[in-house]
Amino acid sequence: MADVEFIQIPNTLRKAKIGNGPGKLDKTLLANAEKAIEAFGEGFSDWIQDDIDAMEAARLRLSQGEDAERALADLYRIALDLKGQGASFGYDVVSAVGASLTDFLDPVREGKTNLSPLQLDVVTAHVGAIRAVISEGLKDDGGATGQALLNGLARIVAKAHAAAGP
Amino acid sequence: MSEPTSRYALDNLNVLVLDDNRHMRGLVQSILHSLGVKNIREAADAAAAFKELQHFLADVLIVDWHMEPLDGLDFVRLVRTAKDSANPYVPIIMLTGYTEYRRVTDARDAGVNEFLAKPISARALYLRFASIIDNPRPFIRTKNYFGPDRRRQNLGAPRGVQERRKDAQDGESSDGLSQSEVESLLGS
Repeated sequence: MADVEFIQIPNTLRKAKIGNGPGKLDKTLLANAEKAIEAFGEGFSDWIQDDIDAMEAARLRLSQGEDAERALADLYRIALDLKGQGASFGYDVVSAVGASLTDFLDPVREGKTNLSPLQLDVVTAHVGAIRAVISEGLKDDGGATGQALLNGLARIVAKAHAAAGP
Repeated sequence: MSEPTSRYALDNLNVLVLDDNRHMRGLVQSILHSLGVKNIREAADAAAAFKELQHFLADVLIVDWHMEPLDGLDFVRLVRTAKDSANPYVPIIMLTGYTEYRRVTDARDAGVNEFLAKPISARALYLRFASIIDNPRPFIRTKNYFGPDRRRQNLGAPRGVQERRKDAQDGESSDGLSQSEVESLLGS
């Protein structure tokens, strides 16, 4: 038997195209879809409260050393969700905070170690930042306040990295 | 003679959305409805999605990555290689907050067709559908891989500056790889 087998499969998606040649995106449908995203996102600032509460609960469990691995996994999942959802609904700063927290937690999770007090402070700062973004209604890039929050997070993350050493 | 105009008719497609986050499932459904897709099923975990595929003839799967107990990659491998898989060849769009190089190559090696980084836009999702409709790829079976041909296809001229700018506006070029780098890795 050959090392590589090529399998030509029937194009089952041909039914999803009318005509030949490169297809055109329908601008009316796209505009409708963008409106649908906007309408769907109107509830974001409400439903995100559950995520913020769950992050706070996970942070508390971490600080008490209570099933730290599970708490870290919960925190990471929510942060990744928020990274994906925030900018989809016009809250770019929420996505940026979520991205910052997942980046910070990636090596921590791989190490599976307990968090130092400074690392816990980093987590606390991220949860607080998301809460502030929502309570202040900081949409899009968050303006000066949003940028100040992100700069503050970058500083505390850098401090934690410096303390952890190379 | 003018070039015949072609358009997409997504209303003919059956789509399964797998994501453990109900808001993200709702968002994707909402976008798909607006783009004309009428027949959408959803699942909150990989086992439920795999079961659903036994009786729902999906044309496209949209799959989140970070889930428990089975993640999106486990699910893709199941669909591609399980003996009781209903359709090992079904096109799969991986929807995820991950954009790191290692993640994209992992997704490619599991057998995904397209990779769409969150946050998502309607245009970005529409473009992924256009890509899998316009560029069907043969499947490859080797000792270690079964899935769409991972080699780069000749798709004509490189993407223009305007399109890359649009991607950036859509948030596709933020942290990690840009969408065009992702496409290059996926061979699409």
